[in-house]
Formats: sequence, C-alpha cells, structure tokens
Amino acid sequence: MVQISYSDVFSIDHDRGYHEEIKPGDVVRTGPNLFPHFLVVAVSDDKAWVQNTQNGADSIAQLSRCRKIIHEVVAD
Amino acid sequence: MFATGIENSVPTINGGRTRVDEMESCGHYRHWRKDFDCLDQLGIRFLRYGPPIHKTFLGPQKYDWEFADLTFNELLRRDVIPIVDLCHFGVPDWIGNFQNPDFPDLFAVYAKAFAQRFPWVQLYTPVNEMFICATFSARYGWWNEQGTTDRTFVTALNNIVRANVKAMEAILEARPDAIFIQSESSEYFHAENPAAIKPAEVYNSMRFLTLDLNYGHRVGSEMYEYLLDNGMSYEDYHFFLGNSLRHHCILGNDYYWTNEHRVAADGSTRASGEIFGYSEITRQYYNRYRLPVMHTETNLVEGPNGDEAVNWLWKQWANVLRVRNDGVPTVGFTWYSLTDQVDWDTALREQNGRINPLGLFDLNREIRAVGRCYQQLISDWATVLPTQSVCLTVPIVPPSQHGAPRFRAQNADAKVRREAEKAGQSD
Repeated sequence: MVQISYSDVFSIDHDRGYHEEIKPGDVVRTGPNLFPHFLVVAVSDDKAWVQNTQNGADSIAQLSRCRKIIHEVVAD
Repeated sequence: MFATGIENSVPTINGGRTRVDEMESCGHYRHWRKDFDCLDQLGIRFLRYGPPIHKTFLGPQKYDWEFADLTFNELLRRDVIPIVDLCHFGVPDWIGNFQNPDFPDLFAVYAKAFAQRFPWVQLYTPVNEMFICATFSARYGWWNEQGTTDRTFVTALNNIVRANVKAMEAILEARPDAIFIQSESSEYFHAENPAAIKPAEVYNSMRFLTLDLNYGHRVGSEMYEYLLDNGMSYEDYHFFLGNSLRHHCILGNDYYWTNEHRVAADGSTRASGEIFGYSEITRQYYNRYRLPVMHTETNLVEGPNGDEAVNWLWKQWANVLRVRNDGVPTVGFTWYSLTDQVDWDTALREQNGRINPLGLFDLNREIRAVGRCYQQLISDWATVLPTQSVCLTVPIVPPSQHGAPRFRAQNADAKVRREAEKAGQSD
C-alpha cells in the first residue's frame, strides 16, 4: 500500500533524484533542507529504519528520500 | 489574508538571568533583507512581525528605533502589510516581568510611540498569545517571573490583558482605523474518565479568560470567583467590562498539534494530540465571541517522510474552509513561521541550539516542501473570497495607499466614530 500524501496535490517529489548507496551508520537527511538529521539504523528493500539525532525518535523512511550528509552544513 | 510570521519570542529564563531571543537564534538580525525576499518568493503580503521589545523599549519614553526603522521602512517600500506584534512573551529587563503592575501603562505608551512613528501601520497584535504568556510565565514556572501559583497567574492575566486593552486604546489615538488581530491559542481539555469531567470543565472555562477580559465578555461564576479569590479586584474586573474594543478586533486563533489535552481525575494534564481539530474548537470560540476569525498560527515539524508538514498545511487549510463554509466570517490563514525556529522543542526553557524544522524556509533560507506548497496554495486560492461576499471585506489600507484621499477619509471617519465611542454614544 502506498501512503497518500498531499504532496501529490502540489506536484512535489521528495525523492533525491540521484543514485546514492545508503548504509546503516550513515547520517542522512530525508529532504533537501538542513534539518532534521537521522542516523540510519538498518536498511531493508526500499525502506530505512532511521533515528532522529536530536530527539532519538525512531521512524521508517523511504530509502529514496535519504541523502547522505557528507559534511555538516551549518546555518551562519 | 495569507500570512506568515517572523518568530520574535523574547522570554527570560533562569530566574531572569538569560534572555531568549528567537530573532537572534534564527538569524533574522543578520538576514532580515533575505527574509523579506523570501516573502516575495512565496507571494505573501501579510507578515506577523514586531520589533524586539527588550532592545527597542529602553526606559520610560526612551526608545531605540534603529532596527525598527530599517526593517519597517523596507516593509513599506515593498508594500508588505505587517501585523505588528509588540510584546511576544517577554518584557525589557528594566520592567522585570508580568507581575509588575506598571507594565500596562508603560506598554501603552510604547505602543502609542510605535504607532506615531509608523503611521502607515494599521494591523496590530499588541500582546501575542496572552493565555500562553500568562500560563508559561506565571503558572508553569517556565518563563519570566516563573510563578507557579493561582495568584501569580491571575496577576499576570490582569496585567497582560490590561496592557493589551490599554495598548489598543493608545494605538487608536494615533491610528483611529487600526484593526487588532488577537493571536490567541485555541485549546480544549478532554476528560479521561467521569471523575475528570469537573477539572476538565474548569480548564475549559479558564481557556477563555484572556479573551473574555479582552473583549469585555462576562466570565462564568466559577471563573469570577477564581479571579477574585486570587487577587483580581472588583474594580479590575469592571475595568475590562467597561473598556471593550471588540468591534475593532479580529479573533485570531492559533492551533497546533499540542493544543488539545487529556485531563486526569487529579487535574493533571498531558497532550492528547489532535482530537477535535481546528474547525470544531474555532466554532466554540466563535460562538462565544461572534467576531471575524483568522487562523493566526500553525506549523508542524518536517519528519522522516519529508511530507508531514505538507499534509498538516493541507489539513489546516481544509479546516479553515470548513469553518468558512459553516458561515463563520474567516478572513485569514497563517503558517508560522517563515523560517525554522530554535529550541521550541523545550518551549524555550533550555538553550540547546536545537533547530526545529517547521518553517517555510530552513535557516539557510532554502525553501522547504511546505513552503513550496504554501506558495501554490496562495496562488490557487488568492482570488476566492474568504467570507464569500464582496460586502464582507476587512477595510485594510495597504502601506502604499496610506495618505491617499480615500484612506484619509476612512481614517477621518474612524476618528469621529472613536470619539463617539469614547463619549459612550455608540457600541
């Protein structure tokens, strides 16, 4: 089952649009913006078990939306 | 009116030793021009915004308008309509906190000075979220005076609402056609079991206290006793009944996922999440006050799917339409705020520097998915009449039109009406 989203109404695609291998232990964002940051705990098929680095909350994210944080981008 | 806001909370914590300043934390002092560019990018013409009171109001009749001059002149140049928020959860150090009985008169003078300096400003929220301000400062012990008793709470309520009323009066002296848009949290308390019904009822009466006093609406007998038992005098109460300016007001209400609560039999509360939602709770407030309504704050943090805030925006907008379609005159909607905020995950009680990803833009001023959605929503719905009638429009004077003959006439009419009100000749 595909979870519905109102992003469809606004034609917003959340996928990163480029190839990247995401592995457990990576720190990722799940969109193009600065925050939130997540630690990848496990990967299975098209899903990633991620943990919010600020509050520790666990979630399941679409793997195709995860973007590795290579170097920290800090707002000045 | 599609609006956003620039977060300007300035409470003190740590017994008054630490000043929280969200404009500083969110980079607005450095990036204010860029922030205004972001408004243009989204097509937003209404901005909840105010000068930082602790840096502007330096003493009795003593002001530093430097930053306000810079920013408000730029808003005027861009023809952005500010809804000016003069007190957002804090007061200057020299005033102390909301227990200070001098605060209302001092604040009224400040409000009038602002209105005289910026005569093209028409929309005001003199004191933001009065109920939250009093609750967090004087009942939960979190901000400013950090009081925890019913007496400190009632004292804060009295001073905060009195300051709001006196500021409205003072602003009307400078700008007779000013319109006041309260931005007040809309709350509901759900009883967990039959034994919790009584305390839930008390909380559900208490949630109206600030607006009751502000609009001169008689409180229920239980709340009347509560106020008088905890320091409000008969004269204080009748000040509010006798100084109602409700006909100059729009009932602005805020709704977040945290605005509904569960109440246990011992009176303790915890967040319930969204149960009734914005439309049902707004109807309750509208039925009590019968004023035009504006949704003045909402947001939700972006989460692991990236579309959580998008879905919340849509849900809030659908609720606004529901209220409107039920016949409530609904004049505006606000996603708050323009950028991400900092440390609201602890209600500003701790300075951890944690970024709350709930803005239309992130702190690098990169647009978020919810920002792109709001841009589209504004574009799609801008021409739909909010109150379903061309006869029911808010008489707003755009900054660029201030001084035009038609609007000078509006102001002159308003001045005559205000004089009549003061003389007790009309309601």
